[in-house]
Amino acid sequence: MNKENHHTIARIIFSILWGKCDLHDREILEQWQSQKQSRRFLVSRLTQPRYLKSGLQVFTSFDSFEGLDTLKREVKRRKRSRMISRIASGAAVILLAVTALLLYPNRGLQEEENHLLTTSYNPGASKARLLLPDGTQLDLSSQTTASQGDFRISGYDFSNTGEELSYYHPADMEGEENEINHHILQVPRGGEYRLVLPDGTRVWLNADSEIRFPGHFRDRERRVWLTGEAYFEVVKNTEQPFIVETQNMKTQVTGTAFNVSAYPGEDSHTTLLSGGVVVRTDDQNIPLKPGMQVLLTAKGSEVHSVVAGDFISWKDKRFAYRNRTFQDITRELERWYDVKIAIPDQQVAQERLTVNLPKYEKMDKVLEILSDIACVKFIVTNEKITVLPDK
Amino acid sequence: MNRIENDEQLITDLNTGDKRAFEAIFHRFYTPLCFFANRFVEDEEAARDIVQEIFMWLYEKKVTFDSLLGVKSYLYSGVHNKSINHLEKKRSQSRIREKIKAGLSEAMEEADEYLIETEVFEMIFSAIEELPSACRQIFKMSYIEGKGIRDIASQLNISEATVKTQRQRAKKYLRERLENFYPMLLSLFF
Repeated sequence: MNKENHHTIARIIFSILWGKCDLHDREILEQWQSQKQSRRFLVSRLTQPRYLKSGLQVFTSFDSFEGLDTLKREVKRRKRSRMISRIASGAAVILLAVTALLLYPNRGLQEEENHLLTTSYNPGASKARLLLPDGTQLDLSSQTTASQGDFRISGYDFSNTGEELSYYHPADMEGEENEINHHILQVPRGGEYRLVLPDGTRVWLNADSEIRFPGHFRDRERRVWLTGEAYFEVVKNTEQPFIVETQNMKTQVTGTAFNVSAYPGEDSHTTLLSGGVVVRTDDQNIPLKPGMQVLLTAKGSEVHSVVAGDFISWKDKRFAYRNRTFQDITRELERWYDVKIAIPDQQVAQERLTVNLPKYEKMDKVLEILSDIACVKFIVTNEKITVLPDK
Repeated sequence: MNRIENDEQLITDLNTGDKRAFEAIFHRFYTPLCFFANRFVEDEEAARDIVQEIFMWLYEKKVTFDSLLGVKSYLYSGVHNKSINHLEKKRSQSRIREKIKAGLSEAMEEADEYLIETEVFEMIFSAIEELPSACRQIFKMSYIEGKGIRDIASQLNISEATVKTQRQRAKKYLRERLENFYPMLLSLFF
């Protein structure tokens, strides 16, 4: 059925509404309707006042003037982002400037480039929320000085610097019984935070992560639950093994330094830096030595030898990637800059890169570096960033 | 949204990249295309995004057309494809399973029916657009958006008496100019 026939049927239906439908047209319509039941339903819907009224409400809610405005803004945005990627992949002089950016973040250049993009995503900062068993919530961040300092809340003693929350060893809490509820520290997208647990273990939490732990470690084990990513430096205590439980893995240690990454929907991994751990999955117990990593994919678990330092660069000032896919890299950027990045082209997504990115720069800086190295261009809108090959 | 434009001239201008022609095409097809997309994806925001992307293609790809019907085909088939894509991405499992079971011809039939719906609504909308501008706005706010006289008066910063007068004018105009259509509109809005 071609476009002309659509129009004919629509015109006939409209003429029924008009009250001016001749016999000939009625025959055409009847013949058309009789071929399919769904067509009869269509005609009866379209002659029903209630259906027409609600349909018109929807129809008129799509305003073409608003739509045109949105389109014009998008056109401007694309022109600007094309300018950025051309700068990054252009002449030798400009290439030198980009290399300089990699080595020495130059604030002067940053000022200039901010004019070129209307939407500039800011890097993350220290922020977190603490949930106590009695329901109290504490917002912690480097911006809120009110939450910084030493204090006691709900019977627990803390110290908060705006970047790190420390629990004091609760020597005088012997009376507490049956503490089933745990404490939860939540780090949002675009955030990061450090935690010192009641036993002195230090934890660095990456963006979009959450750790659940008891107010003091009483049991035979020190057990915590993690979603997202954290790096641990565990205080040695052979009588009380430390266990990090995630959805698919349990990592058991006695005293050691390791990184656990368990974001929902992504492959989980545990990387050991020093000491020793045993990673338990559903069907295996995998002991690790320093420099080794357990990777859990849909197919099962794999053990790799890695440069462990790469996997904890996030807790310092950089994101270091060695032969990682573009997809993996943008996922981390999505969490840190709290933005959506779409890679429609599978070849681009699976491309492997080795790159070292500064964490605390505005996103356009990072995108420049990536577009230079990976031969891609970025289309930036308010809602998301799309990555396309740049030929 | 005047159709005074000569269609041939419009296409020639569009092909040479004339911005004004692009905008005329935009205004002509934007609303029905969004309505069409929305019938598939049942998500007004997503429908707007889809239609915007198709117009971006039109703006950037510099395709040449030989008729208005050609432009219309291009736009509608683009929106159709993107809508199906969107449904698949959203993993609306049950809807996809339905469609796969039904087969390709059923999918085309569905598109045809949504197209007919869209055209009928376009025609009704055009009839309303023929009202003189002052009473048209009040007619829309009264009978399509369902706003009360007091709301309309305060929103447009006019007196309630004026609102009532304009509503009467709209009814009178419709009664005179759109004779036989009037009873149908009446039942729609009263």
